[in-house]
Amino acid sequence: MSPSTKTVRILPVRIELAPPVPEIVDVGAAFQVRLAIEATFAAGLSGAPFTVREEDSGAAVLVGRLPEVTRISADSFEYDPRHGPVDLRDRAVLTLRAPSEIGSFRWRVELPEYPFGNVVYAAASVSLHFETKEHVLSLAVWDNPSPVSSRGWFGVKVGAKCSAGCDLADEPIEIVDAEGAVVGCGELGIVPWSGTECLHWTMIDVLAPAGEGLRRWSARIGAGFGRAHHGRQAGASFSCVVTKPPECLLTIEVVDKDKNAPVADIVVRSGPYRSVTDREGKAFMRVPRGTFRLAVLGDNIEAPSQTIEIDEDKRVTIAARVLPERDPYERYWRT
Amino acid sequence: MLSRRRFLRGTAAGLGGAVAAGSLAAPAVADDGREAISWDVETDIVVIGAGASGLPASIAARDEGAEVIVVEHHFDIGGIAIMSGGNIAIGGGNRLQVAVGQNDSPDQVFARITRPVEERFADRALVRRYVDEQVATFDFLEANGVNFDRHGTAVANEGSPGVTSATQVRPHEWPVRVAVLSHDQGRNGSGIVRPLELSARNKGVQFLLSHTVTEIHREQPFAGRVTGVRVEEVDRWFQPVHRVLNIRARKGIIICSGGHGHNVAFRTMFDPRLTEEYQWHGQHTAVANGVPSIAAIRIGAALGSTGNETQDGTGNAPDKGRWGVQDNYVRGAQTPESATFFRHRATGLTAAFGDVLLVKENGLRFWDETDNSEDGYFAHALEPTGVPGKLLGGGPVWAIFDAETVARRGYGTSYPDVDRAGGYFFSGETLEELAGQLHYNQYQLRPMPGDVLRETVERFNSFVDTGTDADFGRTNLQHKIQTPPFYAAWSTPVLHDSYTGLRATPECQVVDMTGRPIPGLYVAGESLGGIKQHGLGRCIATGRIAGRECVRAS
Repeated sequence: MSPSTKTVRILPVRIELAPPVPEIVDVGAAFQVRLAIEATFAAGLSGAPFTVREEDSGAAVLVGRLPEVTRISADSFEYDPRHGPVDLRDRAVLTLRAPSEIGSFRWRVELPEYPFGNVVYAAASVSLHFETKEHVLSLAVWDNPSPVSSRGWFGVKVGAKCSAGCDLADEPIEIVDAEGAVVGCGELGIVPWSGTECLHWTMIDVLAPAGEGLRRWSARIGAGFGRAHHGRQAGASFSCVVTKPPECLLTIEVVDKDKNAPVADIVVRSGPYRSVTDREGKAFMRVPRGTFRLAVLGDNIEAPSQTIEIDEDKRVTIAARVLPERDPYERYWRT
Repeated sequence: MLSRRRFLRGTAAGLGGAVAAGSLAAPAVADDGREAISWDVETDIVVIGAGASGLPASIAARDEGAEVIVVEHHFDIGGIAIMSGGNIAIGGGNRLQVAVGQNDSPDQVFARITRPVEERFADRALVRRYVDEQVATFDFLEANGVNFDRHGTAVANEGSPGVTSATQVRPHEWPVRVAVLSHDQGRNGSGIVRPLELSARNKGVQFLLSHTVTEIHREQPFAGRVTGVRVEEVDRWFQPVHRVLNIRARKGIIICSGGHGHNVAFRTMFDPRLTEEYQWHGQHTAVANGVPSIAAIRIGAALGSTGNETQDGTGNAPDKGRWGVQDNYVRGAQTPESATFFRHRATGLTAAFGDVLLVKENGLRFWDETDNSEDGYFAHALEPTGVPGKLLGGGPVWAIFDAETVARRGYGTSYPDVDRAGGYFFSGETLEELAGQLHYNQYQLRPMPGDVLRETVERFNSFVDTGTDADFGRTNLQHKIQTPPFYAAWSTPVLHDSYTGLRATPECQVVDMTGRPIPGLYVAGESLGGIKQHGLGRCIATGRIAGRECVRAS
């Protein structure tokens, strides 16, 4: 062997797709593919080049470098062999972007030969077959008060989310009543709702109808929405009880009858009206004149409900029994 | 913890037994054609399990002069008892009862736990022996270091006329913090098992941890004495590492391996509805897989009082549980500093059923969430929901709530409070998105339809508006579920307590299918069928009886 000849050790590499394997993805959206890599010292493939190609045409879809190749640690919460063998192969997670048309796609992830120090990782590849689908929109409605006054305005918050995480700012939202008439509209804001990543939302004012009783409305994406590939627009309905306008202030004081002390944070209900007691054990409701059934609600509180007549501002004291926390063992010891 | 090598060496030298790993007897072929067993270790008594019955059994046997080896699946002693509240239903007029002025007697205890309806399947001969030994069991515990809390002596319920109420005594929590799995949460079972462990070790009982018994050897397949056990070493995930020992038991074997509730095939013998989605309290600490009982059945043992385990509510004792964690027993919370937290993965959320709605895997409500009449709740929870091919078991139950609930209750929504990684807690920015996550749970066999979940929530919210639950009559309608993000927490009933097991004589000697005692084979605790009583009392008392009687009979 001449001094210039160098022996290169080839390390075989095998890659497969690790679950969850994406089979249906949102059109044009980013999605992740987990590669399970079998190779001696697979961590050496961190930063190795890869190419994603269309299987049929061979055209390159994406050229990049592998992110860090990692392994499930026996100390991690992913490691639990009690439900079957744990896949301990090394992993690399690729972020790809789906084509911007609906259809079926056959791609191939290729790792070319990769020299690393004194060794060369052999080339390897794996097929990736998937379909694209339209984005799905879903809505939430919250902060709708109940009851509301007949012919009075009230506000609700409406948020919309795209399954692919699209920015929906400025998109139109409508509120329709039970007869299908549009009774309110607005545009989604720029900043997502607190605690969410992309639930864009808006506040919409709605005029309550005449009459009394439970009424329903629906929120939907407005007619002006024209984004491509956004199908199946889910709505969301909400309800309120419509009542006569309030005329009197009802003050309810909840007292622990054993300790003669105020009971805070208890929900008090008077027909459709609800309120929560403050630190002094007081809850306040503005109600119309009439007859109401008054009750306290809670897991550990007991008080008989009572019927009250309201024809002017009124104060009512409820003597309640605050129960100790229920012993979950109770049923085992009962005699 | 005693290493395997030290155990083998220590057993040979320390106990003076004729021990030499793998060399007590060369493998040979017996008269009946079976290969003769090569004993690795020899002792008088093998106790299977180091929990509430195994520890007293080992001490009682040692007190009778026997050499004892305790084989335990977990890497620590204690079984599920170490997670117990520590309340022990042993009365009959014990010292503490006398001290606090409680009037009790064995006859009164007997009347309490042989009631004509709830305990109609009890084996009364076993119960009689159990109650007659309660005072002595209390004394035994004190003599072996258990320090009872005088103020923990309680009359749990006022009894009906002529029947005095159930009595509990409770020890103090074990003071060594790292030796308690769930400290400061009223889990005083550590105050029982740790002193008993200490006493047992001081008296010379040997513990072989991280080993599971897979086979019980008998002279003939269905005849003769039991001769020993085959054990396999397991890792910290209870998985076999394929190293086997055969331990010869000269005087007997005592099965104290706890319940069988984590073994789906076993528990569905008694109640076919208890399919795989129902978790077992303590499964991350004590496996409760019934394997030693099955080993006994393989050599002829019978089951006893199986009717005890076929009653809703108190049969397999399902529990409504906590939320967002796999083992969601109401009092089974573990914190990250626990030695077994790596298997629990989360502490779980304290359930507040008045703040949520419960849906099954199909997204539909099925019961008044606030109704705690357990029999009805569990009967409905366990009703099938139409998953194709699944005709038994009701599938997962999810507690659905919103951001306001989280704020109101102060719930954590990530590690270590809930188990997102394991698939027992999910969130979504809309209800459809939330529903779409749930199939990542291994027991959610089909996707929950998002529109069904949304319609369920919207309908519930309208009930909150009107104050009337038109579907299930719930009156506690406080809060709508409407503010994103939305959450789904595992709230599937969780099982605990096995109320049946191997059939035995009043001396706790296992009997076979013909009713004949199996020489040398004893059983105690939750592995024993016949006594339907929750908790530690029957485990400790029958453990002590089995340990003593096994030696005396030999």
